[in-house]
Parts: sequence; C-alpha cells; structure tokens
Amino acid sequence: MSGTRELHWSDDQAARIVRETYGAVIPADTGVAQSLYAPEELAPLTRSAAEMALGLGNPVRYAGLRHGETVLDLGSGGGIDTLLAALRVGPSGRAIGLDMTPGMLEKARAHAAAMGASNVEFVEGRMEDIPLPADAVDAAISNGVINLVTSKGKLFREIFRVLRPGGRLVFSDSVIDGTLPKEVLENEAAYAG
Amino acid sequence: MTTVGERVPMTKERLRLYPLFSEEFLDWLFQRIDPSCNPIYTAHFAMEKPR
Repeated sequence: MSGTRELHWSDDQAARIVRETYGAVIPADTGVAQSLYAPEELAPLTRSAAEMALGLGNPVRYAGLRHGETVLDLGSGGGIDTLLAALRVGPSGRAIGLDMTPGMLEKARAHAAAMGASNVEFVEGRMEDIPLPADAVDAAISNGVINLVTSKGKLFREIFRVLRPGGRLVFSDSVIDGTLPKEVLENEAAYAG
Repeated sequence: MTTVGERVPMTKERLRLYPLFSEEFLDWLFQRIDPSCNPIYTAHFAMEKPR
C-alpha cells in the first residue's frame, strides 16, 4: 500500500518493518501462487516454494529471459521468481536472488536445493546497495517489493548500475491513484503490505 | 518506463489470499481508503538501460 508521495518512514524504519513482517510470515496455502502463476510454471517447484509466494505479479513472464543470461531478482523472498528465472536462463545462465531478511534467504536456499537448481544463488543485502559490480546482469526482476523501498531514486540508480547496456528491468507492483489517509500511511501493516 | 500486461484490481478478496493480513486489518483498511483512491491495482512495468 506504500509508494505514495508522502513517505512517513525513514529508510531504516522501513527496513525494520519489512524484516519483521516478512520474517514472521507463516505460509498457509498456495492461493497467492495459484493466482499469479500458471500450473505449468508451478509444476517444477516444491509446494513449500509455492506457499511462500507473496508477490503481486509474474515478472518472469514479461522479462523475455533467454538461455545463458544472468538475472537478478530484487527482494527475492522465498525464491519463487528466482527459481522460475533460473529455469528460463538454463544451466548456462545464472539467477541471483537478493533479499535482506535472513529467514527468507534460508527458505529460498532450501527451495533451490530441493529442486536441485545449480544455477541459483541467494545473497543477503539491500536493494539500494546491491552487492554486485556494474554491468553485471542482463535482466533485473522484482515482484511487489519496490514499493517497500523508501529511497526509490537511489534504488533505480543501483538497478541501472548493475544492468548491462541494453539490460531490462521488469517488475510488478501495487499502484494507487490518489493519496492514502495519514492513518493508513502511518500504519506498519499497511506499509509492509 | 512502460506498463506491460493488464492492471489487476487489488480487491479485498484478493488481499485475503496473503498471509500478511488479518480480516480485522482488511476491514480497517477498506473503511479508510477514499473512493478516489480505489481501486488499488497491480501492474507490471518494464524499462531498458540504454546501450
């Protein structure tokens, strides 16, 4: 629900809210995954990976990923989009998931291991300070996470730094026309969602 | 930056799928969102770094 013109939270406050909220998620079922991904996309994944789907769209579907490419998933969470990207780029490619929540990274690594995915790695870090060199990736994807970053100018500069010339950014996110009430803007649950 | 695909409304029913939100929170939220803000929606965006 964030992404409005008035930002109530500092960078560190926002990071704390996101870490606490997403670190405490207890997955219930695959309802979100089934609403966003086709059955054939979910088929290679474990049920646990599908249960941790918390995104808002399906950026891999629109990213035009090709075999051999390197793709970065910003805010990879439980890893579902990173794993789908890894399947698209194949064994000669590489998929990197970046997340700042240790519990999510642990889950994502377990999901990759369960699939036997060898072209995937999950890295701890913040999207506004991507731990990769310049021109390192062919594509960047993100699924419902960019709205959680308070310093969006810094974030997009970082994404452009790590993209190779001609590289693509494809992301899904929530958008709202108008302005949210102050009490919603200042509500932690609303921000994290 | 361009929008790709369709905008999908983020309805209360859709938000219920996410384990992040309680029913009480969703009631509270939708009582406070001004009609001019509705619907909240989701979309995909794309851009390319110039060569």
